[in-house]
Amino acid sequence: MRWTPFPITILVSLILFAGCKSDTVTPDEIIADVLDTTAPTATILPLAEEQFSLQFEIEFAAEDDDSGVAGVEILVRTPDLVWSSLGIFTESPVTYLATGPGPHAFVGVAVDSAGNIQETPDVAQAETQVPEPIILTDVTGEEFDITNAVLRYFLTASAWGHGIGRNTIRPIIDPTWILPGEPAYPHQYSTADVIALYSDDEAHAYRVGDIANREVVNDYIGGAHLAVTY
Amino acid sequence: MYSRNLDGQILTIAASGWTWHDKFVLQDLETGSLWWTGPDVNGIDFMLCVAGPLQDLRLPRVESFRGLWLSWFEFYPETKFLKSK
Repeated sequence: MRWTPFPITILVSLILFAGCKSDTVTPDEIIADVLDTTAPTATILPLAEEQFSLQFEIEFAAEDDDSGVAGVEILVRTPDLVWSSLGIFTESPVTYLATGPGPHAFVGVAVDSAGNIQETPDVAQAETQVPEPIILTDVTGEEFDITNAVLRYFLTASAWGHGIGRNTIRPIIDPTWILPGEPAYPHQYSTADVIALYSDDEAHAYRVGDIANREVVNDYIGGAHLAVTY
Repeated sequence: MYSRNLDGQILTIAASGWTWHDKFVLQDLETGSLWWTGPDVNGIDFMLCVAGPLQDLRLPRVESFRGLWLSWFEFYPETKFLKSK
């Protein structure tokens, strides 16, 4: 497929973007910018033939001989065969969230610090198939996209249950403690079922029954943030 | 017991309201992503984000004790005990 002419607004953006250098430009960098008349190159790395969800990562590689790559614009072709820009990126990978299922294609266009812009590739550099989303709806009406859970981790859709709402079971986020010697402190010979941890001269214990009621205790002990569950 | 420090981002973990085969599916309150706990095919236990903005990221398991209070108390008598809420 042939490419439509590169939008002038994007060209301007790329050049402006390329001009946004830090305050600490060295003489060598200035000379490289002046002498650099060669366009950089960018490539979108191969994608899996099929994705596990609407969200996936796009990786690119880019290089430039002289002034250095300033950024890479990623273009996507959605199933309606329309190409659009995802933006200009300086770091790979980039997380992409597709708006729907079907075939997607990608190309990268690099710009260097001297303002040279890569010629837009005329064929897709990477292609992939985005799956039909698998959606669950809980009792509150909220929809959950579990496509990744089902396709990548085999948490089969038919085994999901309850869906009683995100806020129905409130976690413990500000645990308070019974100290040794206080009346409510468990007897030393108690056979209570507990989860416990010792870290950095401090020990915390949680009665399993209490955790079961709230499912998760968000704790902080010994400099570590922990989720206590079982 | 799992870390909830994701590369410096501290997550608040809670039940999501969903279960899978009657085991709770968790969520983080910051992004709403869904998390699953348990060992993978290699037997390594961690908390895995299965769906949502943080999907495919992992939080490591932290070694802890599970058993009778009397067994724990014998070695750690200064333990702070979680107050029921």
